Amino acid sequence: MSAKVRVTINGRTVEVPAGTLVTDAARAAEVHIPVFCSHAKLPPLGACRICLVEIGLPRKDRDGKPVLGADGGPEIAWNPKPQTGCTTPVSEGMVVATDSPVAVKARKGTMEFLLVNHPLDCPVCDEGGECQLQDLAFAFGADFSRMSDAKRTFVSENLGPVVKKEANRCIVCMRCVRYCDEIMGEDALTPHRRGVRTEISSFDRQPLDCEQCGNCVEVCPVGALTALPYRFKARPWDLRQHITICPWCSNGCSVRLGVRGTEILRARGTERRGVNQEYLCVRGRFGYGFVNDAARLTGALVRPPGAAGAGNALEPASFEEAVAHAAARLREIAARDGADAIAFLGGEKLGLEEQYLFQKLARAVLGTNHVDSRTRLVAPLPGTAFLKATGGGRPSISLDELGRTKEVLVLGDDLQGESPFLQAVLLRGQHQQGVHLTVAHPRRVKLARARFGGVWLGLAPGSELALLNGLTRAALDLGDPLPAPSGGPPPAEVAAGLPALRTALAAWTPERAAQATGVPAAAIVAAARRLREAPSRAIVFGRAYAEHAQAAALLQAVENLGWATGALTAGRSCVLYAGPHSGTQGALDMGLAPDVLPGYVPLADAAARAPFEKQWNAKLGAAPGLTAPEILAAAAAGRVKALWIVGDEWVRSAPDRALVEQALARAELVIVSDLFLTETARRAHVVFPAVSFAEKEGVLVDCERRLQRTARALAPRRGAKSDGEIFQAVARALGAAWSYRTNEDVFREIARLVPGYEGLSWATLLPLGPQWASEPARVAASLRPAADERPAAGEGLWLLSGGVLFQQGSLGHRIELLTRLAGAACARFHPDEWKRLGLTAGDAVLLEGPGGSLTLPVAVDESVPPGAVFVPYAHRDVELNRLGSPGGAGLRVKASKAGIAQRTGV
Amino acid sequence: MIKELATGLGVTLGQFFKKPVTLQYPNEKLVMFPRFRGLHILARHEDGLERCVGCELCAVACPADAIFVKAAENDPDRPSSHGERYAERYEINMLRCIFCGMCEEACPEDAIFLEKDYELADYRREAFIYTKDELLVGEEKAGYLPVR
Repeated sequence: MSAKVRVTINGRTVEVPAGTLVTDAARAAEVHIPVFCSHAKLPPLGACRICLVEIGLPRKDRDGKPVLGADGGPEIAWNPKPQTGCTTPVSEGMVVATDSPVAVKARKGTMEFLLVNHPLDCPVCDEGGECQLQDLAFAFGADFSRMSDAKRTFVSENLGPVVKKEANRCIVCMRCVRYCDEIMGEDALTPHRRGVRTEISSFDRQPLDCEQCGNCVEVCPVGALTALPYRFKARPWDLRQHITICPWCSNGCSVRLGVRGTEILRARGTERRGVNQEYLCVRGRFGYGFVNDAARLTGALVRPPGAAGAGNALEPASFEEAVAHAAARLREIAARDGADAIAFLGGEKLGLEEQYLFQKLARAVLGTNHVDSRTRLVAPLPGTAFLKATGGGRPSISLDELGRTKEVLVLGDDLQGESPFLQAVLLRGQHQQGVHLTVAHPRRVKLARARFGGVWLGLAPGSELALLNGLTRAALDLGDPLPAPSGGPPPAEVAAGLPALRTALAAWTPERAAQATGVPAAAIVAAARRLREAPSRAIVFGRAYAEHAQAAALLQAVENLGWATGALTAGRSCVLYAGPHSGTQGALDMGLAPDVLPGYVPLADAAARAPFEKQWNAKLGAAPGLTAPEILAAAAAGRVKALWIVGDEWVRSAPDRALVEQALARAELVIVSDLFLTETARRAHVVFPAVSFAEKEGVLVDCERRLQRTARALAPRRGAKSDGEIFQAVARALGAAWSYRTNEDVFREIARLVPGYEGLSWATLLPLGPQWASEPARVAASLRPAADERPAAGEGLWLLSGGVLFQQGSLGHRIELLTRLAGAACARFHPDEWKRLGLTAGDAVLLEGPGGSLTLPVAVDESVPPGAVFVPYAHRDVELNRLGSPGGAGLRVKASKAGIAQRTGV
Repeated sequence: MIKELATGLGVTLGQFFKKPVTLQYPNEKLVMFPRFRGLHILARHEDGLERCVGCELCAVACPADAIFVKAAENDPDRPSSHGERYAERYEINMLRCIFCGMCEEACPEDAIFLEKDYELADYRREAFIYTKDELLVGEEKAGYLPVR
């Protein structure tokens, strides 16, 4: 792309792309130039001056020809003053010296200058041992100080519950301020005063009102910002470092766990490593406490046959007893009612190998196809639904490339709560790469804020389908779907479906879409035009659409829009599904869905099924099983008699609380494997103690379909078993000849058997695994009208829900810091609605849905549209599925004032 | 031959009139040299606060990996040490210690010294893990620093 230039640094000549900074070229030449203010993700600043080097360029005569010196080489014109390497781009023939007397003197002088006011409190400073200033003072500094005056001092502050500020140690490199502004989009830190009195603090010195991500602590090269949760816990040399993958969402961030003894003391990102590099969100950075929680299960529990209740409690049992009991009961039910009376649920939080074993246990050992990982779905969806909406497995772009995509449409999700790293990628792209954001969300979420320069399509709740239809129609008005990057036409299925789609969408004029959604017609047309005409574009959607009652129609509409705008065909474009869990993509890849085998092999296809039958030595049923919502109904009706729920709080995650309680009460055998005795586990007949993400190794597939290795940081908690071991023990007790010693054995079988994973091995996944893709697509595309206008269930206010940054799933309730940051769960109303209901601060509100009611404290929130109420779903106190299952375009609830809030805090 | 015998006996007899070197341990004990390295102490400031701030430099300097330190934050109203940090736990495994004095060398706060106590025998292995209570000098020795 760009021309290469040759640079000589300390006598070593390297060839680097033009425009590379001297510090980066030096890294290529393996010469160390110290930096403080320079950061890989931030533009050059040159604030700290520690990277001063001597730079020379070949002298040229009047004709532009290099002047040759006495030795025949080009004569070098050295710049009279040292220059900062972090702001100077290289040019052809440049010569850099980092060890010349001028450079050494400059560096030593800068070091002395930085240390003028730096306190000598290394023994009490948490950064000690990993402090760049300490290292560089040791390497380049003087061993005495010429300064005898008093140092300038500031008062140390706690900037909220995460960041401790000790401004005396600050060298004013501005990394934290710039990172917070340009990458987090928070702008929570700012310099106060000027010159030597510069102090970094929050505005007005209030506790930081931000995402509490702690990235400012991470990028601080000295101990000016330190993390309060890690304060004085350990020194870096005490910690064993293990790089694994964060379990909190599907973005697949690398997280470096610091372990002392048997306890995880901190989690960090790693510069120049993983998809996220040093970035971590608040959950990733501070959400490891559940691993060392004292309440974790340390042994199996078994309930004698019969209903749960007094006199029939769960009793501790040895692992072998529990396995034997579970196997005997499964065999008994399979013999009596057939294998179709057994269903396997969950697995979105497992590693790839365990997901594979889970469905193999169901299909090959027990012979049931009732397997589904997507326990939160309201609408039954085929296992290929998400892959199809994202292009059927065509090569996707990486998150890094997403940050350089010119136009990004975010559909339905508040990325701050669901995929924080994805949000950071987009915000950085917006700030540094000119990404234009279009956010379609009923609430004005963070990404839709005016300061990010994007467009907010604030659609009316329940009109998602209307907006997608309107956008697709407007895009198709601009022309046929774009050809593939290779120049070939779009797939035949797309061309075949186009006329029918055009006919069906004829009615969805921008005006009609505007009337249905409340978004101005011009904004819809402009958004479609931007998507269609931008040099590269991406469409991002997540659980808001996946768990929608109209999910099937919405996913089809997303695919239609993908083809119509070229997001699925053009280069550097994609449709991205950011699922809710770290294993969401892997679970689908491994066939944790009722109608597909691993690799999206359809069960109905006898030829494609044959290799699996041969490898597994079993006859597989051709008929698809039940999806999660169907399993829920079947279990409640008594048709499914045995349930195995793995790593999933089904009582809270299934769409209908009353139905799930009925299902669990009615089932003859409920097996749960989990870390804690969850509400679901309390209703089980056999509970297996599982291990956490930090205690096992395997592979995770993130939302960009990238395979990444996870590492074991800790020995498993005494008594707990990895899910793979549990599945294998039960399979062996059921007579299967499984003999996997490690997860790597399982992965070898996957790599042999599963289409799309051929030829992979654990060794190929380090440090950063590949994104799997298949050409031709694994799932055929289709363009079909997605007009499904059903009214919402119930009447009253629209119930809007979504993820919040500080809570995600039941494990988050175990982490004190996250619970404290999340605060109390509130039902949030627009000021108009607030007035109409006659609410005052401190009130509680009663929400009544078709299935039940919920009482919550209230809060006023201008980002919630009128006619709706927003309730976050992840708080401990909120059991949204008590309101009943959403139907049609969503769920409507009746809200009424219910006196003073009983619970004001968590 | 007589002469040599007499010379030898003379040396022997000469020893009878010199002060004996042998001490009647444990009734008598040797006064150790100032730089003798025995059991460690953790010293206190003149105001009675601990000198140790729990920086763990002794632990990382220790070639035998005999020192364990766990730091914590001082209660501002009842501080244990000067500054924000103190050693919540400070343990030395005397079975591992090789009395090299590197911890003393590394200490930036002049908090740890190898003192004169060499009577470290015991019957139980656990007894050789010296905790902070055993190592820290009493309040009456506030401000005491060994002569070096």
